[in-house]
Amino acid sequence: MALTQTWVLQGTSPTTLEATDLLQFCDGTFDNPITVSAYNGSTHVRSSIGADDSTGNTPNNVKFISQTGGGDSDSQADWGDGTEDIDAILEAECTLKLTVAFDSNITVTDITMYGYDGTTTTDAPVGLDLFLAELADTVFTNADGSASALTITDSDTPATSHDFFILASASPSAVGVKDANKIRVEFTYQ
Amino acid sequence: MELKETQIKWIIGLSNGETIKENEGIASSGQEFSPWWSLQNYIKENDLKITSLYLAKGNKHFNLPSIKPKFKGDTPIGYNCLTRVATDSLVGSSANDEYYRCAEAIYKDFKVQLYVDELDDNKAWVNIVRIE
Repeated sequence: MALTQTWVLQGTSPTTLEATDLLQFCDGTFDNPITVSAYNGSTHVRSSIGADDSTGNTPNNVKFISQTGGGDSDSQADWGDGTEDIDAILEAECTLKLTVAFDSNITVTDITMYGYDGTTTTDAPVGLDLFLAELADTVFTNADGSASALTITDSDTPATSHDFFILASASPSAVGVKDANKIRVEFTYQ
Repeated sequence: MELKETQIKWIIGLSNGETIKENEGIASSGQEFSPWWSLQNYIKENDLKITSLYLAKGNKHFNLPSIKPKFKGDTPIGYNCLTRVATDSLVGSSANDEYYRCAEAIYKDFKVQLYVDELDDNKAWVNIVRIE
């Protein structure tokens, strides 16, 4: 009896992130860097040998536009239809789908998600800003370090599978590959 | 990815004198509900209460105050048990993954949380959390 956790980069077809894969934010083309202070023009799954695992799946991309520039001071992003308030995004348009499953009915609660430097969970990612939001959120969370984590809504009705949909966007603050950084999720199940 | 099965199990005393062990009897694995929620259903259907809760791995026991606590402690009004997971599996290896079993003794205004590290059961922590 074990818990399974599956991360998927959504798209026309899903791309599952394996343990050794990287979630890669690029300028619009696989392996192409984003200009400092700009945001991702594409999102990919990069394998441990450097291959674009999502190349045939037309992966989703959610690009941060503004923190409070939308209606009712909502955050704005572009996920392929131009600039929109992020609470207008549909489930299938989100960047990531996280599934937590068990072989009998469980609840999943107290869920948080954040980026960190890959070493110390309280430390912000090095050289980049990470913005996360859950489906139906009105604003992005600048989820840099555990103290700034995105809070994800409890899934407190017992079920064998629980899905969570996440918008993710990143911007480099310095030149260079930032692959030491990690995204971490914490949750409780019972 | 598959997260490791918990090795630290809860053991519950009930108001009818029964002792229920995680993954055994009414709390056995492979049922419709997880062991904890199977226990909750059993308690509700039989109008029972939890009178004690501890975590165990082999001969190691990590006890919460029972309703007749040793050392003149206060009596909890409820109990809870959960598993806490922290994982980096989205990016890179799982070397930084953390797993804890947590048993809670609930009081009127606060709860006592007893965490035991699944990866190193020589490590345990206690938190006092105010109930808002």
